[in-house]
Amino acid sequence: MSLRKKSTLYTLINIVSFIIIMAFVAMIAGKGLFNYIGEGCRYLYNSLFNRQFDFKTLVVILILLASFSLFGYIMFRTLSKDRIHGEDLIAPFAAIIAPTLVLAAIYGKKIGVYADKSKVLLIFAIIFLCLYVLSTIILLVDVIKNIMREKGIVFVGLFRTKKRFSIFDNGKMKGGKRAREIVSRTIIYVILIIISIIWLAPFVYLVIQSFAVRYEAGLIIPEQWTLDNYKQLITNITYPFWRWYLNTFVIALIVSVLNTVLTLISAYAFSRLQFKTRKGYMKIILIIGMFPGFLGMIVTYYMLKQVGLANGIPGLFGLVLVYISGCVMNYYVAKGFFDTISKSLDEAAMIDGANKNTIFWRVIMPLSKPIVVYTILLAFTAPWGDYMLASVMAGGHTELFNVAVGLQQMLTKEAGTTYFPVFCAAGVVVSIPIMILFFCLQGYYVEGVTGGAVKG
Amino acid sequence: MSTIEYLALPAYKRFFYKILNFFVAIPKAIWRFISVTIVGFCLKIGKGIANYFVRLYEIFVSGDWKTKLSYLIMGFGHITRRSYIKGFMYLIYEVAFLYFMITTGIPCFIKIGTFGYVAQTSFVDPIKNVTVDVFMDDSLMILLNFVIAIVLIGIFIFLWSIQVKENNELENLNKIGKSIGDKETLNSLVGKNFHKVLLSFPTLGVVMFTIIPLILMIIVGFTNFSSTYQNPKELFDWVGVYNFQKLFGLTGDNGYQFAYVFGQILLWTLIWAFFATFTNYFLGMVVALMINKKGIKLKKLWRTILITTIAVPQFISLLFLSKFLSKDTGALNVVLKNLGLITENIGFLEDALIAKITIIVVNMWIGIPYTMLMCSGILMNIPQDLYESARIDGASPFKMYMKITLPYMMFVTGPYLISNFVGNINNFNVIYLLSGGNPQFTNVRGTPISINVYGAGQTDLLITWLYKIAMTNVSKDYGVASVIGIIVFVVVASISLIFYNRTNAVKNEGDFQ
Repeated sequence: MSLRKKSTLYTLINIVSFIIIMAFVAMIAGKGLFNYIGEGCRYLYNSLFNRQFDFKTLVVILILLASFSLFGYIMFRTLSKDRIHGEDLIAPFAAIIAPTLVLAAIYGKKIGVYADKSKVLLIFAIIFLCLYVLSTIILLVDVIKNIMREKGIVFVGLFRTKKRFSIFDNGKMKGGKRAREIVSRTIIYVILIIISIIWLAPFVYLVIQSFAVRYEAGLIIPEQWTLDNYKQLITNITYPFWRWYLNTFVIALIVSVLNTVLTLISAYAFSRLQFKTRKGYMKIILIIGMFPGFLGMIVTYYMLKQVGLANGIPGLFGLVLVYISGCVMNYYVAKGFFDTISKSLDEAAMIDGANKNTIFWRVIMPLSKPIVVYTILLAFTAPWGDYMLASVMAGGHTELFNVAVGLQQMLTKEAGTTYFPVFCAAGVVVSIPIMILFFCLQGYYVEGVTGGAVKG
Repeated sequence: MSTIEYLALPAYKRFFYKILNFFVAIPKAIWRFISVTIVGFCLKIGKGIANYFVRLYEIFVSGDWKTKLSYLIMGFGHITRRSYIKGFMYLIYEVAFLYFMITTGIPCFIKIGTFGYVAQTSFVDPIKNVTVDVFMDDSLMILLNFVIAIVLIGIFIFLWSIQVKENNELENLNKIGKSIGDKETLNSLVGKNFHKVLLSFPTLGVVMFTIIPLILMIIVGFTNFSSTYQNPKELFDWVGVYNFQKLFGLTGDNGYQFAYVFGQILLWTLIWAFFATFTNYFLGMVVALMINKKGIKLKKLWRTILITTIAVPQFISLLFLSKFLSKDTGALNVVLKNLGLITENIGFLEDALIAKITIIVVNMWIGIPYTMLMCSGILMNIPQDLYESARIDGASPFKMYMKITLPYMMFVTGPYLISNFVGNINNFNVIYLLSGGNPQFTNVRGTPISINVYGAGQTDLLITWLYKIAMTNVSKDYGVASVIGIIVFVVVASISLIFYNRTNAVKNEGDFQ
């Protein structure tokens, strides 16, 4: 069998088994998958340590061991390819989910509660097992071949391949060093996978919950799905989410433009212009920055109230004023970036007769695209996450809340969990635009984060 | 002891000798600090002020009548010497300043001693025959105008002396037949004085919305401004250092409770800042190292997964987690129960110690991606030949990490670490949205003591406590709030001073070795 054929078969088997597993999960997940697994684990434990050892247990343990050890290998195989297809990623997860489900299916009967479903589960488990064993055999052959090749034995015959297929990059490594490399990479991959799961799981749960009819702590996947939560974002009168969203969006737009301009010009002044009070000014800003900004906020609120910028629509402009007033304090990162631009450019422009204004807009700005984008991104996202200042400026008026303050109201102790699904829906609606923005401008963001810290 | 004698000592004696020397040097250092630093500083300031007045005096004596008159009328010299724009600006400022001072400034200076005389009075309207309430003095407004007046006076003195000096320059130029007209003034705005154009608006913002409120709030720390003395119906008054006494438990009557809570919160703030900064830093670095390791595939995928946390607004994940982790309705407890790992619900955010650990762990979840991004950028910049030579010398990966990677990272990210530490002291969102500062403090009998301490909880930071006092608590004791703000400043300032000096010392040593 050629490599291509083999990998096609392998992929096919994986896809089919994955679909079955998913159907499987969807069927029993809502009905207490964890009960199955938990009971299975407990039964296994009992039979092992209370000497009620039987044949079934032995089989299960063997399956578990085989699959866990295989998991690592499949992970390698999948990840060591130059190009990775989506379906390749399914295999390792299939390897880990499968035995769990087998366990659930076999021991689900013992609980008695789900006895009627248990037969169905068993049939599924058997079908799946067949597929699983098949793919396992193929993989095992691969393993054996690899080992043989390492030892210098070339297997010619049924499984002969023309291409040399190495699961590791550094094929030149020898003996113990290579083994150590394998071990360390396995560990790293396992850790990275665990990290990814930990980091993504809450978001997946958030998205799933946003479709739930009501919040039930026990159910990861809700029994009934609905779009009503998204409708409520617009229609709910107690929590006018669309209003908060609009407030925040408008504020974020205005702030991102003004803040970027002001931050960049002050950073430019500190970086390029030589004036007597430069260092003193920077020191004063450093010291002011050490006071908690909230302290002045209370007074600012009274001040703006006095001018009439604290209630109604003007209140939002008051908030904008407060946001942009402190922007000179954020000069740090942009200054670090400007410092790296060669000063000879300025001098050359100066000789050509440009004044400092022209230099800033015509010479420095075109070279500073990363930092401009970074500043805009940061200025745009900051109002979305601000709770402290926005809550002061809103002064308890529901129509003046931004999303952070508003959504916090949904989850207070008094509100309980009634509005949790609505909150989740709101969270999804708020996150998606910012997420898209972030992923599009990821490169600039990384550059800004790195640049600011390094060049300080 | 000479160097050779010192070197001849055994190691433990050298150690003791060093310790001894350290203590011997302390009085000297203190004396040096007082005599050189403080006295020198005072002398410098005094000399500066003296020079300033002497200069003004000299200009007055040597100047012509135009210059002399511009001591009284700002910008007079400018206008008569054809620098109209500047001259009129000065004049306008002076007129506006005087108007403000006469109408509001001076009355405020008179009233500031008692924050006004009468807050509210009522009289019977003789025509309509109804009682009418009249609001007279508003203490906060008096204080605000007082501070604004002081700032304006400062600006006035500054501008006044500058225009006097400029007058002198103009006079001297006139003597040799030159002058600075409006055209030159405008041209200098994009040349020599470009920084003034760029920084004028940001500075205005900072002065108006940061500096004036800050000064005012610091003054409020010495008053009893609270919801009992709410403007405009009541006047508040000076209370001296009563608020500070309250913080340190010197006010009798359950005062010790306040001091205890303050101490606990301060301690927890520092512990939190330490752990939040360093767990994120080191674990983020470890993750970055793992992702950047040679031969690890899918680098971009791992990075993108972590960036998701940055992309989703923090408050959403925090609020979500606060429900996810809650004791009675949280999903995590149910999941753990179903798995059979626990039999009773864990109060992830309800039990004080567990809540603190949870908060730090959640903060790791939020913060590691930032550090990871930052570190992976820097790690790529480490010169590879360092590792190459270390490998030839037979260094183990761990040793290479300790001797090359870590010092390099520390060297480069020192300032970031400090600012991150300071940022964590003032990290409002994580605490307030996650645990809300709960659980409450209790006394020995187990009853909450939240009323005496303005609703402080065991996981509150100073900043969230400050917020609670000023915003959510009924009594709204702004005086205490501002004292806490001052304490935060003191903590932050001392920490950053100490560490900035250290990192500067490192920088002065030169390049990374």
